[in-house]
Order: sequence, then structure tokens, then C-alpha cells
Amino acid sequence: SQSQRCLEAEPPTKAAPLCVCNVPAQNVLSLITTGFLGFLTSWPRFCLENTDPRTRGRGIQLLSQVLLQCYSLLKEKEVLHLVLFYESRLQDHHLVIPSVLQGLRALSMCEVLSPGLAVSVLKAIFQEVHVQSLMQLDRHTVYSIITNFMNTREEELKGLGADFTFGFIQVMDGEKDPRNLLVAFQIVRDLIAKDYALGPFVEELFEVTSCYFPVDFTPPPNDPHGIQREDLILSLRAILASTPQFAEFLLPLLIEKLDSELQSAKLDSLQTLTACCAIYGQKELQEFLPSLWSSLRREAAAGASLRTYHRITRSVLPLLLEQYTKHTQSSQRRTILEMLLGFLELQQKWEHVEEAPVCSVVFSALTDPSVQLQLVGIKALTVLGSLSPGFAVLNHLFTLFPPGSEAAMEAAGSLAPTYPKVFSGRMVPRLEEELQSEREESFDSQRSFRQRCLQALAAVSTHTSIVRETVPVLLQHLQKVQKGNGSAAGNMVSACQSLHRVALQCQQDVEGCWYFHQTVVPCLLAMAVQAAMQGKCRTLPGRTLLEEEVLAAMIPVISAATTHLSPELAAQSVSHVVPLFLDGEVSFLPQNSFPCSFQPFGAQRRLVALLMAFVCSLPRNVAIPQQEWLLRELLALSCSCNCPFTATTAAKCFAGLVNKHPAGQQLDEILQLAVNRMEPGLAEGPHRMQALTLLLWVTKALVLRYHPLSSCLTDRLLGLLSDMELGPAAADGFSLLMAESPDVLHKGCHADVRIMFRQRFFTDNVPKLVQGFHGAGPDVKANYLKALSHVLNHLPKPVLVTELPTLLSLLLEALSCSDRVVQLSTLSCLHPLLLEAPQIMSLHVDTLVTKFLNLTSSPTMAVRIAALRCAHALTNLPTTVLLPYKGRVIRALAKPLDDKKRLVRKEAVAARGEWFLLGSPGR
Amino acid sequence: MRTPHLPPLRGAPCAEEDDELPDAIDDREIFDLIRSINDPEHPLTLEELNVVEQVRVKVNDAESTVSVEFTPTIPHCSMATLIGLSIKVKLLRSLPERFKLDVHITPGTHASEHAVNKQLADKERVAAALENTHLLEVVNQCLSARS
Repeated sequence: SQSQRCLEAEPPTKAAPLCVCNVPAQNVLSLITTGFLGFLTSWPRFCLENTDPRTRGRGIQLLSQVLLQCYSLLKEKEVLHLVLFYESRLQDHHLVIPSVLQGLRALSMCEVLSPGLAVSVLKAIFQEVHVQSLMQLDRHTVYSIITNFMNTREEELKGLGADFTFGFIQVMDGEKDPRNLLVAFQIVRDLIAKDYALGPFVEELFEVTSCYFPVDFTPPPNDPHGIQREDLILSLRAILASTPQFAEFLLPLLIEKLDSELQSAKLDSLQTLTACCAIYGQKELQEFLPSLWSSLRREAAAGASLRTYHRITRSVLPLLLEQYTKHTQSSQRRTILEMLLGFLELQQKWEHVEEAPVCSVVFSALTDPSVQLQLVGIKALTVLGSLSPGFAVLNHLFTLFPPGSEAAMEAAGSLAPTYPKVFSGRMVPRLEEELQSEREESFDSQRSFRQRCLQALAAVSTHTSIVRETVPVLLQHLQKVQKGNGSAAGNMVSACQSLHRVALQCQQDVEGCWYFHQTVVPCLLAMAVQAAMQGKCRTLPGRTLLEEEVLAAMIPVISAATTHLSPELAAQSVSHVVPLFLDGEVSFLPQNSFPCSFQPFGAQRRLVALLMAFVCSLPRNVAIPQQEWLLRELLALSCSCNCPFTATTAAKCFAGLVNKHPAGQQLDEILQLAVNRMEPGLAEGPHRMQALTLLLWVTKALVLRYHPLSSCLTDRLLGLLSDMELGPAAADGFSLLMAESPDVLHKGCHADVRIMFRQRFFTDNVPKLVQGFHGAGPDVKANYLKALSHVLNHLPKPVLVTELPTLLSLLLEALSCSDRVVQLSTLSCLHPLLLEAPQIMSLHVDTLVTKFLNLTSSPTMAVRIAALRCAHALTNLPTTVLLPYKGRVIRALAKPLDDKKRLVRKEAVAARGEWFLLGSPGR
Repeated sequence: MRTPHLPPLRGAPCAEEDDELPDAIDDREIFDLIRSINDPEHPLTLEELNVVEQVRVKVNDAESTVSVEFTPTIPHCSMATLIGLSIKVKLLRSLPERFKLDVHITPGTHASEHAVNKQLADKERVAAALENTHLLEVVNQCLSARS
């Protein structure tokens, strides 16, 4: 009320104001503080309303100086009036403005400022003052006013919303003075830190500050202000790295500056990036990481700012690891792991990063069901291995080896050639130790653990030097198992599978291949010979090796060890192996003291399987010593042996040799011999089946190479289809003729295989099969259908479709055949036809619907499934053709919906659902 | 939108391959029938939208009953009836006739829960709905395999 009164009071004298203008402010101050505030009212008239702006300016300047001294003494009402007065003065002449701003600065420090006034002052400044055309000091005053209000009136200012931010952006836009910038930067920092609304002005705010980046400032000599370049850099960095909202603008800028020529710019960019990584999330970094990497990679390679680069890696990696754990979906994890990988690749050695969490993440990727994620995991593992050769990573590889994880095996395999010493020196001994250790675990877990070790040994055998370590371990294991007791066949098979894998991995390397052959083949032969001599008793532990299962597992090992030998080395080997089997010459075997003599075609004839594996895998130009004698022995064995395994193996071995035998008189004589041996066997006696097996294999050998005798033998086979005893086996034999055999008579073991042999066989023999079918008695008709469906099943689908019209009626008849093999095979022939030749199939829709529906109640699950798939494929026919059957099919398919087997129900659901949609809207 | 979690598809364990052993119809099998139904409005499946979940599927093979609860994405979802109808039709087409079906809204998740449930339970109204060509078209689209 005091001020109110004073303001309204009359001025004491008329001359006073003029004098006042010349009185030092200190004296005025003493006047005011002693209660003479009333004099203020005379100001308007004599100074403040003077028409000369300079005089007005001086008046206001004086008032402002007074206020700066005594703002703390002012009352709320006084402040109000002064604020209104000053605000109105902002529209005054530009000469006056500096003094007005001074006054406002004084008022901005008043504690008794009424609510709303701060906002009002700022609005007025934003609106009326073009700050950047003012002098440095005056601009500084504006920043001070803003800072003062932000310190004391935060809530009020926030009420302005984004307008405040926008106003400030306009105020500082173009600021050049370092002193002012320090204050302005502080304001921006507070805007962000105190969560002022940035609204749509994030980019503008970023622009108005980032335009100083990288800071280019050298203090003048004798710098009076004491501002260092570093002050500005740190202050600006604090802003840029203060919010993820800036990420999308800042990261491209940093990438650009990283590529700059200026060393200081690079360094500033890297350090800013480090600061950003502390607060940015994966989301912000993701988009820019690829270009960041390439820039960082260049930097790291240049070595210029290695330390900074490491600092970044150190901040990014934990972030990525954390993100990986947070996200559970494979696709997200993959993205994160890819980023992680990018950073790992930049590492030149394993530093600054904790291994364990990285390894866990990589292994979690390796065990993920998603193949995509696994692949990235493998890549990451490879990188990890290259960073940390052998130590922690390999330990992790072993301890975390996920059971049966193919991916981890592959990863180990791909790492091994790069670090052979690490693997042969560390991993292999470790695996060997584990393999030999007796664990106190259940039989099953011990077995699966051993299996894992065996697989791992094979997986890492990707380098010659490692192979030389792993092969002896595998062979020793095999020998140990053979000497041991109990049911070891499975264990032996596992060891053989690992040896097979190693053999395949060695094939391309001449030296490794020969090492493997020389080491493994004699050893396996010696073990087999040893086992075969232990007497007749099957239950003896040593004879486990002779079990069909184990011998069958040894065949691919020997075969793979032989197929890639050079002719010279193969000839060297063949000069040992063939005499072993023909003469019992055991001297080249590693352990060659046997209790009795080896009789390969006598008591120990089971081993013919190993002979086959070797001799049928040799390159075609390798001469086989005493081949004719060998062939005669094989022929005799195949026709006379009671054991089907041995007889069949002998027949296959004979066929494998015949296929590669050069054409000519010698071959014709051998074949004549075979026919002479076969015919009586086929006619009658206890070995009819063996004779048929020989016929099949020899026919196959000749069909593959288009030998003229093949048609003769095929006719013999066709004739047997009407044989009551041999007919079904002969029919099944057509599958053997057409399919690729795994161990002999295929391209991989250098057999003579013409690529079009199937089509040729089809053209030559299907008419005969059809004719034979029509002429056959009811008991044997099925044999012809079965033979036919085997041939069709192996025919390339395009050929099948073109040949269809001539065969369709027969196939439809085959659907009524009671033999489930015929049914299955016919259904699988018809399925592609329904999809690819709907027009032709439409002609038979009635038969197809009826037969398919009948077969959906077959006692065999596989037939029911195939029939339902065909019923489903029927919907591919033109709708108009199908509609008359819709109701019937839907009713009939209700039954398999309640099939006892889930797999059948699944097919029924799919087929029925599709039939419902036929001719219905929305299909 | 909630993030969908696709449980891995059921593998075919040995028991399923065995010709003789019967496999009972279980919750998972029913869920497998409805999980891939398309949402009428979104390019997503009901499973991806969490409209259907395996825990809300109950089957009793011996007593021939199936109960499915579905959860509309929002309490005022105008598609609730249509979604329920699609589930119901899918089950009618896919399950043996012996089953008694109960398709209803997860309690407390929709504004017109009771009205929708009543409609879905009414055989005649369901049949009548499917006589409507337009409705049938939408339902069929929901049940079509997405290409």
C-alpha cells in the first residue's frame, strides 16, 4: 500500500527529474531506500516520455540500474506495475531496448513476482525483440532473464507448452558469441533435463544447437573471458547426448563427421557417440548401426582413435546383450545379434568385453529353433573364436555344447581350419579325455554324451592336422568298444558315423585323403578279421563288429575313404586288399598275428561287405588284380550262401564290378557265366531268392550302362512277375532297379550311370508291364501293378504327366488293388497329376471320388493319409465338375474326422474344409 | 497390439506314427484347428491377435464336449459375433458330429458378452446366419488358407 500510495503521489518539484538524470545511481538508490519512491511518478513526464529516444533511453537506463540494486525490496504490486511498464517499453525505439531488458532482468529476479508475469514477460520478449540483432551484452541479458525464470517459475513456464521452446529457439538462432553460447547451451540442457515440452520442435532445437558441432573455436590471445574450447565442446555434447529424441538427427551427423578429414572432428564425434550410447536404446541405434560400423571400422583400422573406439564398444555391447535378453522373439534376437556381431567384428583382439555373457547369448542363438537365428549364431561364434583363439570361447563351446546341435558342430567345424593348433592341441585332447572318462550317470545320458563327443570329434576334423589327431582317437574308441562287453553295436555305429563324416571332409584334400585311407581301412579290416576268427559263437563280445548293423556302418567309411583316391594310390591299396580276400594275405594289416588263417570266401565270408565297400568304390581306371577269379568267387557266394546278407552283398559286389568292367568279350563271358549260374537257381532249389537277388543286381548294373544284355535280363524279371513264389519279390525289385542305391552302383563310386536310364527303362518296359497285367491271372495281377507303380514313382514328374493318358485307366484299376504298397504308390502317382493335369483327371472324377473315399477307411494309416491328400487335391479340379459330388464328399469325410490317428484327422480336416469352400462365396 | 507368440507346431512323435495306438483328441489339437483362422479385419490370425489361446480351449474326448473361449481385442469389438461364428463354423466342419460345441466370449471381456454368447449358442440362428451369402462369404474368407 506504501508503493501504491507513492505512485499516486504528486512529484515534489518540477526541476527534480532533470537533476535526477544527472545524479549517480548510487545517490538515487539512497533516496529510494530512504522512502522517496514517490519520485518515480515524475519519470514518465520528464524522462520516460521525452520525444528524444536517447533521453528516454537514459531515463529507463537509470531506472533499470536502480532496480538492479533494489529489486529485492520491491513489493508485489510495485513489481506488477513495473513489469507492465517495461513490457510496453519493449515496443519502443531500438536504442531504448537494452535498458528495458536490463530492467526486466532486475524484475526477473524478484521473488514477489505475481503468477503469470514471467510468462507475460517472456511472451513479450519473444514477440517484440529480435534478439540476434542486439549487442552481445544485451543478448546475454535476454538469456539471463530466461534462466532466472526457469530457475524460479518452472511450472509457469511449462504452462506455455512447446511455445516456450519455440520462442527460445528463435532467441538463440544465430548466436555466435561463446560467452552467450555457454548460457544458451545450459538453457537447452535444462529444457531437456527438466522435461519441458519440445512438441514438434525437436528437430529445430537440435538444429539450433547441433549447428555448432563439431565446435570450432580458438580463444583470442590474452583471452579476457577465460572460455576454453573444451568448455563449449563438453557443454554441447551434454545437450546432444541428453535425449534419445535427438538420435535420428544426431547419428547421421556423427557418421558424417566421423568421415571428416579433421582429426578433432573425428574425435569429438566418437566421444559424443560414446556419450550417446549411454542413454540411447537399441531402437535408436539400430537404423544407423550399419553405417556407424563402417565408419568405426575405418577408424579402428586407422588406429587413430582406438581408445575412443573401445570406449564405444564397451558401452554398446552391454546394451545389446541386455536387449537380447529382453526380447524373446527369434526375429528380434536375430537383429540384435547381428548388431552385436557387427561390433564384435570390429574388435581386433579380445579386450574390454566380458566373455561369458557374449558366449551365452551366442549359444542361446545356436540352440534356438529358428534356423535364421542359428545361422547368425554360427557367424558370431566364428568371430568369437577368431578373437579369442582357444581359451574361454572353446571352453564355452564345450560346456555349452547343446546336445545334438548341428549348428554348434558346424560352427566348430568352420572355426577349426583357421585355428588348427588350438583345436588339435586343446579341443581334441579334451574330447578324448571325456570320451574315456567313466561317468556316474545313467546309461542313456552317458551314451548320449559319448555320442556328442564322437560327433564333435568328427565335426572339428576339417583340417589335415586335426584329422591326424581325431582319427586315432576314433579308432581307439572303436577298438575299446570292441574289447568291452555288453551291447556295444550302437556305440560302434556312432564311431563309424563319425569316421564317415571325417572321410567325407578329407576327400578334397589329397594328403588327408590318403592319410585317412592308409590309417582307417587296414585298421577296420584288421578288426573285422580279428572278430571273424573268434569262432562261430555270435554272443561273444568281440563278434559285435560282425553284426549286420555294424558292418553296414563300416561300408560308407571304407567307400568314402576310397572314392577320391588318385589312381596310383588306389592301385597301391588294391594290391593289398584284393590278395587279402583272395589269398588270405594278412601281412599288411596292423595287427597281423591271427590264431588261424583267414578264409574270406569260406568261414569269414561275411566280410565280403568290406571288400564290396572298397572294390566297388575304386575309380574306373584302376585295374583290379585277378578280377576274373574274384568275380567267380563272388558269383558262387551270391548263389549259394544261406545268409541273405552275405549273398546279397556278394551279388551287389559282383554287380558293382560288372558295371565298371570294360565292354568286350571278357565281360560277355563273365555275364554268360552269371546267367548260367542264375538260371538253374531261379528254376528250383533252396536258393531261388538268392538267384533272384543276383538277377536284380546284375540287371541294374547293365540297365544303368545301357548294356545290350539288360533287355534280356529285364524280360526274365518281367517273366518272374507271374511266378507264384517269386512274383511279389520280383515286383518289389523294380523299386531297386529304379532307385539310387546308397552303397554301390551310383555316380559317387564311379559307376557307369546314364542319366536318362529311367525314362529309357520306362519306354522299353511299361508297355510290357501293361500287356502282362492284362494277360495275367488274378493271383498275380497285383505284381504287375506294383512293378508299374515303382517305375512310375521314380519317373520325373513332367515325364509322368505326359505319359499319363496311356496309363490312367491302369492306375485307376490299381486303386482297387488290395495290396497296400500298390495303393500307396498309386496314390502318390495320382497326387501330382491332380495338381498338374486337372483337365485330364476331370474325365475320371466319378471313379476318383469313389476310390479315394473308399481308401480313407483303409486299415493302413499311410493309405488313409494318402487317400485324404488326394481327396484334398481333387478340389484343384474345375469347380463345376466337382459340385455334384460336394455333398457326398463332405458327408463321407465326416468319418475320418473321428479317425483314431491324429495325423489322419489332420488331413481329413484340411480336405473337408476345402470341399466346404467349393462353390461357396468367399473362397 | 500385443506381440504374438507362436508356440512351435506339434512334431509327430513316434506314438503318432504308430498305426495301432489311438491318439485322443486333446486341447492342443482343437487349438491347432482354430489358431490359424484369419481375423475379419486384420491381416493377422486369431492366435496372433491373442483372440484365441490354448489355455482357453477345453476338450473332453470321452464325453464329446468342446469348449472354446475367445477374447475380443477390445470390449466394444463389433466383430465379436463374426469371430465367434468363424470359430464355431471351423469346429463344425472339422470335428466329428458327436461333439457338443460351446463357443463363447471370455467372461468380462466384451460389452455385449451375453447377447453374443446367446447368438452363438443358438443352432438355428447360426444356421440362418450361414444362409446369408454375405456373412458366409466373410466366414469363408476367415477360414481360407492365406496365400
